[in-house]
Amino acid sequence: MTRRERAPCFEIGGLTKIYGEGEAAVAALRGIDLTIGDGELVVLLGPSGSGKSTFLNILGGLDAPSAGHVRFHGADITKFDDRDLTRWRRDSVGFIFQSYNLMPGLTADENVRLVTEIAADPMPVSEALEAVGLAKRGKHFPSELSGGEQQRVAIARAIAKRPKVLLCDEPTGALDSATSRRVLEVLVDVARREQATVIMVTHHQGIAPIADRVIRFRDGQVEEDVRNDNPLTTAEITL
Amino acid sequence: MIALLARLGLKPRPLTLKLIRMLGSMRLQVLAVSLVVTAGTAVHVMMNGVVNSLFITRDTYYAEAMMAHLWAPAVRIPGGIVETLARHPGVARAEPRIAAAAILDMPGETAPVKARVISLPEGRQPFINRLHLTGGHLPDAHTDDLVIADEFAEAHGLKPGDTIEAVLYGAKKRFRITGTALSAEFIYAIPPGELIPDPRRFAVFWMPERAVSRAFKMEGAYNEILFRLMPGAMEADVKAAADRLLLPYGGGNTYGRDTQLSNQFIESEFQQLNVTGGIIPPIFMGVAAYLLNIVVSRITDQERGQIGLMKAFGYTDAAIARHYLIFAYAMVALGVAAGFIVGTRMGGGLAEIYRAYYQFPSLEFTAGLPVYLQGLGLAFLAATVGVFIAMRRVIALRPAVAMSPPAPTDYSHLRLDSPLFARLDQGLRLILRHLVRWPVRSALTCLGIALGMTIMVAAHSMFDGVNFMMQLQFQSLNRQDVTVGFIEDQGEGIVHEMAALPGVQRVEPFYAAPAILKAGTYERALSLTGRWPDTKLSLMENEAGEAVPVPPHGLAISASLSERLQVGVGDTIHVEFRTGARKRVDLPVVHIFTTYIGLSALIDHNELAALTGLGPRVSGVHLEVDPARMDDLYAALKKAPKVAAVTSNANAYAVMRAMMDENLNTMNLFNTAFASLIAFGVVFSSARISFAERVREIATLRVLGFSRADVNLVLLGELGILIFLALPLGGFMGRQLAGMLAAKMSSELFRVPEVTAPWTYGYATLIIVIAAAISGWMVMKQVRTLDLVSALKYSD
Ligand SMILES: Nc1ncnc2c1ncn2[C@@H]1O[C@H](COP(=O)(O)OP(=O)(O)OP(=O)(O)O)[C@@H](O)[C@H]1O
Ligand SMILES: [Mg+2]
Repeated sequence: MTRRERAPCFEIGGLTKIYGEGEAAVAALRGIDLTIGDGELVVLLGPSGSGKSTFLNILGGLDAPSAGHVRFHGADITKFDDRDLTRWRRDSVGFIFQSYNLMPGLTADENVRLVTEIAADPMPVSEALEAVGLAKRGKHFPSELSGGEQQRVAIARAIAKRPKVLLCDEPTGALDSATSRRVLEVLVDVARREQATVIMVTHHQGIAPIADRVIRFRDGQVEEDVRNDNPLTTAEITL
Repeated sequence: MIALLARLGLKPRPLTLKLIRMLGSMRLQVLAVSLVVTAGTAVHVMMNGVVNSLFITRDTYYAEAMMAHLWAPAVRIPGGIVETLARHPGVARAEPRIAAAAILDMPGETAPVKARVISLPEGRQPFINRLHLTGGHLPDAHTDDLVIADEFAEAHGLKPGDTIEAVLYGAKKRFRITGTALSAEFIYAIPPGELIPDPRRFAVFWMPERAVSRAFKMEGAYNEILFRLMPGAMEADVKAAADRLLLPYGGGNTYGRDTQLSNQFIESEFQQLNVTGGIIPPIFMGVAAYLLNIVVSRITDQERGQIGLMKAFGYTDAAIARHYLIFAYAMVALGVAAGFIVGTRMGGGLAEIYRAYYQFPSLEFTAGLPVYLQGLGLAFLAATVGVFIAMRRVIALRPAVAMSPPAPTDYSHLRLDSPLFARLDQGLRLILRHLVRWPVRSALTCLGIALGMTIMVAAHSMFDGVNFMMQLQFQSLNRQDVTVGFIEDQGEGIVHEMAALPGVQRVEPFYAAPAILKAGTYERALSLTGRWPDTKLSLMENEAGEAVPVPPHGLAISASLSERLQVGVGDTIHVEFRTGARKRVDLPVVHIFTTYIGLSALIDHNELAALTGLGPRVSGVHLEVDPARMDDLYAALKKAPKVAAVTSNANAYAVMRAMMDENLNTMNLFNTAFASLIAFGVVFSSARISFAERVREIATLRVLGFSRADVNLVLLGELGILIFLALPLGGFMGRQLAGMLAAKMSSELFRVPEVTAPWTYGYATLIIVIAAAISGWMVMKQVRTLDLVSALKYSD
């Protein structure tokens, strides 16, 4: 009940992205209209090439759309200049990628601190690492951590700023099922606690039941948009 | 390029296509490699090509002119002696002549002009030192007509048929010019004691023997014998025989080509060109190898997957290396070709400069095939080294490892958790860890930038050195306005005669007593200069800049002589006088003073008078002159019967200054341009590579909310630190290289002071900083236009 009355976080209208020009043009997104509520956990599914990553990148301000708007709490981020985008990413958005993209020259601790030093209202580094169960590995460099551990550091880094939005592009894509579950658990747990809006792209149908809402893309359009009023916990799903 | 290959009907294999594309994306770095190779090759071809051209031209000229092997000057040699010496074993021909100094009164020259008068055998070319006539003909044996040096004729617009006024042995007379000529003895035509040819103020005359002997009162006698030796003859043996026989006639200081003034200057020029041509191009090629290494490392890093695949398919390491070598060679070949063209053109330009100072019948720039081949070899060596260093890591890869994406770089040994480090911010940590993670690369980058600085500092130091030397030599130490030499040594009374001339404010006499100086196995023919005490015009100072007096007993010698004879203060020099009583004495070295021009040994005039047994004699005087009355003095000197040479300090300075301004500046400009190019190439490539390697990290930082400025700081901070370290290193290495160049270029004639002006460091720093600023600006532009999404995708 209460979930239906969420304040809108993202209001997306007519979002279109065309790569290239003329005959070589590829339409990655063809007019997406969506409203995503604050604190919603959205799982985004769809075949390869359907435009999921493109969508996420535009929401995160990493890429600009060809047409349409993306309002975040009323402000159209597609109109932001570099400075606004930087500030927005710094204070409001956490990214998690399939490739963990940690800074190899910094320890786990320092990778998180990279963010806490610049964010407006960060949590302590130790708390972030604690949340992903890596409190004891802070002094280790990425090269000394397993893939799952690296991804957990990436999650710690993403949530340490207490982001309003978490954008995850196949966060468990490179992990085995046990590790995936552990990583998802951490991710969902923290997101719920921080009341962050989460949009998670995945190829894994099995993950869908944990979401408040499942959106399916096909050929750059929304094929299906299903609400789930009774999301399961990560422990309950089968991976 | 690809289109070009296609048009040529070539279908490059996919791997090749890919490599071409990658090179295209790094075209600026490829250009930098080619340009540095071009510069190195051009300097090599220019310097060594000019040496080659000068060498061949000189030797051909010497052979055609029957250039003497030995010169045996004396005071008065009876004709009979010549026959005796001509029969000495090893002597192909001995020919006597009369050679003397004279002064000319040239229209348009206020100061008297110096001239060398040389006798011609009766109505014919001499056998030794034949003239190369450039106009007119030789004078008739019974006249006192003359042939004059070509460059002097040209400087004064004289041609055969014109007349010229000269004072020979105190008698002024007008002579008719029958021809103009060049002489192998006067390729570099300067009077003794000068450094730079001044064709307006130094003339050489060739006159029939009869006229010369009459003018100089030498009837039936000569004052010089020239020798041509047989192939394989012992020069020292003939020299000793000539010295022995001529000693009673005021001779005994026979010399060979090694101390013949013109030839000595040519040799010293060879020496300098060889030094520059031997040291500078390898530095360029070293830098080219470094830049190539960067480019190839970058390519192989990106292609590691492919390399793994090729290995898995059974390609050998050699086959893979060849793949990259071919492209490195292509890049270098372009640079070499351009270097050949530029070097040949610049060589032509340099030959042009040499033509202005060295009088050859013709001097063409012909570098010769070996020089080009060496240049090619050097460049390809650099390319091979650069590629192999880059390939080392790749070759060591096992295929499976190569094919998986690179693991996060291992920084684990660089934990650096000292309390100090803990306080640094993350950006600085990133910079420092990255620097330390790639110590070899960081060190090479630092070294590369330092090398650019090194060349700039060294090149400019040569310039500073010459400036310093001129300042010291012409202004601080030699304060006389005019130096006058006499046709023969005079009594002390001449000092009063000189003091009575118009405008003369101070007279300081000196006496030059010809002698042979020996110490251990070293020896050198050199006049001892007798000095009167309390000199104020011609001063000496030691290395520390303190005034050095002439000691009451013993010698004060120049540092150059102390090196030549390998003696220091407290050692003795064995002096064999070639004048007066021909005494042989051991004299202690009491002081050593600094001079950058020539060799000299000073002695108190009283001691010298006692040693020669001739009493006080005066060979010349230094004069301080009221500037307002300079012209009056010159006019009086032109009429003074005993004057053989007048040297104006200001003129000598002006001539040298002009040469510096015209030529050294040009050279310096080239060096600076090349050095800046190196600095630029290295700084720029380093900045680009650091960006390319770290796009992913940069994109990540941007995604995390770092601003462009933050990211620029991390990227450029690293370069900044390397430059900060490279500047003092480059300054230091530049000074060392300058010292080495100065030492290697120094000869008996002059030494290049080891001086670097502070401004030189400032200037070199400025160039590096500008290069860094431009590179930084380009990197910042790349950061600005960085596509975050594609940067975060796995490349390949
Ligand atoms: N930089 C680009 N230039 C051209 N086309 C692009 C570019 N990036 C993506 N595309 C195209 O846009 C479409 C959508 O790509 P996108 O990466 O968003 O798909 P996706 O749904 O994330 O696929 P996957 O599940 O494989 O990651 C694809 O057809 C892709 O080829
Ligand atoms: Mg995707």
